[in-house]
This record gives sequence, C-alpha cells and structure tokens, in this order.
Amino acid sequence: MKPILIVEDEPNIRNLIALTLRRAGYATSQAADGIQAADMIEENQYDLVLLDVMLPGVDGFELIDYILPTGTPVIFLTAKAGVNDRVKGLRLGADDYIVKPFEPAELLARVESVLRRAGRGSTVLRVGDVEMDPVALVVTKNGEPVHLKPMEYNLLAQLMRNPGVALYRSVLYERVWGSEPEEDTRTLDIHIQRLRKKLDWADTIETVRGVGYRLKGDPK
Amino acid sequence: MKLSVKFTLSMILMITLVLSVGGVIFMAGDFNQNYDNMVELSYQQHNAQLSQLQLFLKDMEADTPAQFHAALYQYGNSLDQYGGGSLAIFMDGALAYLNLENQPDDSALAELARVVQEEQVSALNLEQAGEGVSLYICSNLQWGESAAQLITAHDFTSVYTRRDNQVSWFARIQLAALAVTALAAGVVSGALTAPLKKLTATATAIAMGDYSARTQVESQDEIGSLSQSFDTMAQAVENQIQELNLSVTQRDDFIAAFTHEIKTPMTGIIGYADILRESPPDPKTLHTASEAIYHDARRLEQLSQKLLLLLGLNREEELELRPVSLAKVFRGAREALGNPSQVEWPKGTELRVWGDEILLVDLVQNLVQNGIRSLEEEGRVEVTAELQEDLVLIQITDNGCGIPEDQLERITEPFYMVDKSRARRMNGSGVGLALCARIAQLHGTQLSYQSQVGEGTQCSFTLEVAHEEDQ
Repeated sequence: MKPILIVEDEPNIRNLIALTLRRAGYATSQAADGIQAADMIEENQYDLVLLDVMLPGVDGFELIDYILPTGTPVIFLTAKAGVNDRVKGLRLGADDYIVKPFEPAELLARVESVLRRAGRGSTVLRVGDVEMDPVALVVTKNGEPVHLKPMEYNLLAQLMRNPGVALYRSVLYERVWGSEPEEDTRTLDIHIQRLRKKLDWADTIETVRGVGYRLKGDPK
Repeated sequence: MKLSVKFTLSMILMITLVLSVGGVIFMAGDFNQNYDNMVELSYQQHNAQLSQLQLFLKDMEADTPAQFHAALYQYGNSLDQYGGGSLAIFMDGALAYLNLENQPDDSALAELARVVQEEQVSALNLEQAGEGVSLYICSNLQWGESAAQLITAHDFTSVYTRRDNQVSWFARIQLAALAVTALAAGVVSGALTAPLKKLTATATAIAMGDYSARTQVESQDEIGSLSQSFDTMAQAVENQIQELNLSVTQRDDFIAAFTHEIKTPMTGIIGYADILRESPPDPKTLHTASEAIYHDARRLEQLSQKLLLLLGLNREEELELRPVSLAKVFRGAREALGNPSQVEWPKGTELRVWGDEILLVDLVQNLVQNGIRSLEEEGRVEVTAELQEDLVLIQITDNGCGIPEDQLERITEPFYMVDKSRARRMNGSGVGLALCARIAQLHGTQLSYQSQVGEGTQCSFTLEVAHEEDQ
C-alpha cells in the first residue's frame, strides 16, 4: 500500500488531515506548497493526492496537470464552494472535491470512496477473526461473508477504526445517522445488539458507563 | 405617421393654400377689370347707336307717332341694308326691329324693354345664349309723345373665355409647383430625419447591451447637438457599467479571499474538535488539538475584529479630527505591540497633529507590525517623525525581506499577502494594510511605499500639524 500525499499550505489543516488518515490506518506524506508537491510526485508513488486549490507558488489547478499522467487519483480541497469552481475542478480531472470546512469523518468517507472507484490502496481493517474491507464494502468472519445492513456496516466501521477506544454515544450516533440523536433514543443500542449477535461479539463490544461503547482490541 | 411624411404633407398644404388664395385674388381682379372695361365700351357703343338713331329721326322730321313709327322701320331697314349694328327696338311693348346675334328669348328682351319704359331708366342685362355670353343694354328713347326702347347686344364671351383660360393655366402651374414642392420637401425631410434614424438605431443597440455604440453625427444643428449629448451620455453609461463590473469583480475577489480566510481556521477548529469529542483523548492528541483550536480561533477573532473596523471605517464619510500628541500615539502603538525590542521609536517628540488618536495608534501599530514580520533575525524597524512646514512626515523603515515591485500596488487590497506562508506564521490576516490605507485616507493622506527585495521597505505618510493657536 502506498501513502496518501497531502498538499496543503496551512500546517494546522495538513496535520489534521494526516492525523485523521493515520487514525484510519493510512500512511501519509505531506507537502506545504505546489513546487515541493511536484518534486515529491516525481520521485515517489502515491495512492491518492489530496490537493488544496489555493497554494503559494503553483496552485492546485495547475498542479493537477503534473499529477494526472501518473494515474494517481486526486481530490481537491478548497474553501471555494461555488458551482463553477466545483465544475472546473472536476473537469480538470479531479476525482472529487471537498469543501472546507469539512469534518474528518467526511474526508475519510470521500477518500475511501475515491480509492474504491480507483481500485487502489485497499486497507483491510482486522479485529480478531473479523475483517472489513472499507473499499470493497465487505465484512467477513473467519473468511465467511457476514450480511450487514447499511447502518450496521457504518456503525461497525466506526468501531473497527477505533479499536480499544471508548467512543461517545452522541458522536457514534451522529457519524452513523448523520444527525444529532433525539433524546432517549434506543436506535444505537438496538444496532449494537444486532452487531453483537451477527458477529458473535457479545463480549468484544463493551458498554462503557457514562461514555458509550468500546471495541476490545489494541489501540493504533 | 412618419415625420418626413408629415413635413411633406404640411408643405404641400401650405403651398396649395398660398397659391390658391393668390391665384383667386389675381384672377378675380383681372376679370373684374376686363368686365368693367367691356361694360364701359358697350355703353359708348350703345350711346353712339342712340345718337345716330336720334339724328336719323331728326332728319326724317318724324313729329307724329305715325311718322315716328315709320322712321323707326326705315332706320331698321337702312341698317339691314348697310349691315350696321346689332340691335332691337321695342315700341309700346311690341318688337319693332330685331337684328341680334346670339338671340336670347324674345320674352326676356320684352321684359327688359317693359321695365325700362315703366321705370324711365336705362338698364343692362347679361344673358347667356348658345355658346356665348352677351350684354344687353336697353335705354328709353322719348320722342315727342311717342317712346321706344333701344336694345343693343355686346359680345362678352371673350371676357369669360379669358377667365376660363386663366383658371386652367393656373391649375397646371399649381400642379407643377406642388410636384416640385413635394419632391423638395421629401428630400429635405429625409436629410433631416436620417440622423434621427441613426440615433434610434444606436439607442436600440445600447439597449441590447452594446454599450460602445455611438451615433457619431457631427452636424452643427439641433439634431447634431442632440446626437453629441447622446454620445456623451452613452460614454458616461459605458464608464459606469465598466466601473460596476470592476467593483463586482473586486467584490467577488474579496468574497473569495474572505471565504478562504474564514474557512481555513474553521476547518481546523471543527476537525480537531471532532477528534476530541470522539473519545476521551490521550494527552498528546489533547495538546495538539487544543493548541490548534486555540490558535485558529484567535486568528478568526483577530480577523473579525479588523474586518469590523474596516467595514465601520468604510461606512464613515469623514472623521472628526482633534489635536493628538504624536508621543502618545507612538507610546500606544508600542504598548499594543508588547514593546518589541527590534523597534526604534522617535525620541521625545513634542509634535501635535490633527487626527483620531485610537485610529492613529492602530495605523502605526499595523505598519510597525508589518515591518517586524518582514524581519530576519538581525533586522530592525525604525520609526521617525519629521516636521516639514505644516506637515509631519512619518516614516516606518525596516531592513527586512522587501516587497517585489509588481506586488506593491496590490498590498492594500484586503487579504492580499505577499508571502502567504510567512504571513501565516506571523499570524497575519491580510486585512491590516487595507485598514491602514483607509485610516490614512480618512486623515487626508495616503501611504507611499518604497521597497527593494532583500533590502527592506519604507512606508511613509504625512499628517497635518496642530498648532498651539488651533487648540
């Protein structure tokens, strides 16, 4: 598996993206401007380039001409939300377009979706005898496919990306269902019960009092 | 109806009216004079005839009515013989002799004679008979006890023929004159309205969005000056549109830059906060994330503060300026900057200037801050204030990295940064100089820059001195 190149001049954002991707199990490289990025692309190979549009020196729209011949997929990162900029970015050959401010979970989903379409960088998540391929969207236990509903899959993905970490209920709910939880909702608990049953993980998914749930395993 | 048609029709109407009235007056006058002449001539002939008849009667010594009768017949016969005169004689209401050309009704002649006999006057009567027109003059001839009426006929046809000829000749002249008038009026009105057509076409073109269209009519008349006014107006409109387009572009640039400046720290804040709230963080992540959130939030806060000030100042038309002590301004800026060691301030200046103290502190603070940001390790920033007649020249000079010449023009645009990564590292937002330029403008001065890449930058502006007596 090759690393993902992050081209972004804001150190805070660059570190944030690197941290998010590393936590999801991806290796990363970083470039602070267009010229440095061009040098790195010439010398190394990457599975994906996350490219900021507004860069000092050579900007993202110019840099994409360097990257496309290598066949590496590109996702633009930009503060410009205008339809014209979006269309321009996609027409230039970018695979996707992420508008700032973005949430790390959204970034991760877009990265995985682009990698899946490009058939690259499959990062199989593994906890115990359960394996999840977020690019192929397949879950197996002991090599046997397990049939999961979409929300069950999304919930399992959140847990498997953070093994050994206690995740807050509200955050889990928001990431899986996309909105803030209603009060006293049992939806999350019901889905946890389904996962425990389907994967035979009654003990592996632990309830943490006052926080939420934790998947037993070694933290990354 | 088109203007040229209206003009042509009114010209034709006017010419027709003038020619008709003139012609009628002329022809009526001519006819009346001819008629009067003819009447006078006819009377003379009539009287001559009458005298001749009287002489004849005298010669014949016709004293009795019978002799008178006989004499009259004889006179008639003698006239027939010599072929003289065209006349009729009535006696006692009966026709005594008749030899008239174009003879009218006998009864009409008898009626004429009867009136003349009864009223004892001479009379004339105009009769139309056959092709011609004749005047009949009748007078009473009293001879002793007897009386007779002499009627002579006079051909008036020529008078009427002449009038009819004049009328038809005049009608032809008038027709020709009207044709010429119509042609001339058409040509003239066409020439007059051609520029109007051009005006219309140009106005339509402008309405359709071609703001560069002009009439370019250069005649000296009213239409010419209208066209020139129109062209001037079109030029003004075009300039205005260009300015609007420019300001729209500038606003779009501003919004794009503003969005970027806002969204970048937002992304950091949201992203790191999301990591923190996901699960109880380890100390290292906690530190990195809270550090990033703090700095990004500070950056947003500074940006919003400066933007608010800039927007407020942009709305301000004119500042109320007061005498301000420069020493106080420099002290304020120095304290706001945290007394940086690289800056050399002017010593013991007692100058007072017209200004707003808070804004002047902001101005000096921002300019000095920019100087500090440009410095390498060994750099210095020097601030000087120098009295020049009624102005104080303030200069902020650094020996930092300098600004490339092609970028000097743009540095006061909001969010413009010469070296973005350096400005970021120094916590610059790109709004400071736009703010400085506006503050300078409100003080009736402007910032002027001199810079050399690698050598440093000097920024200067002037303020008006506040004299003792002003205070």
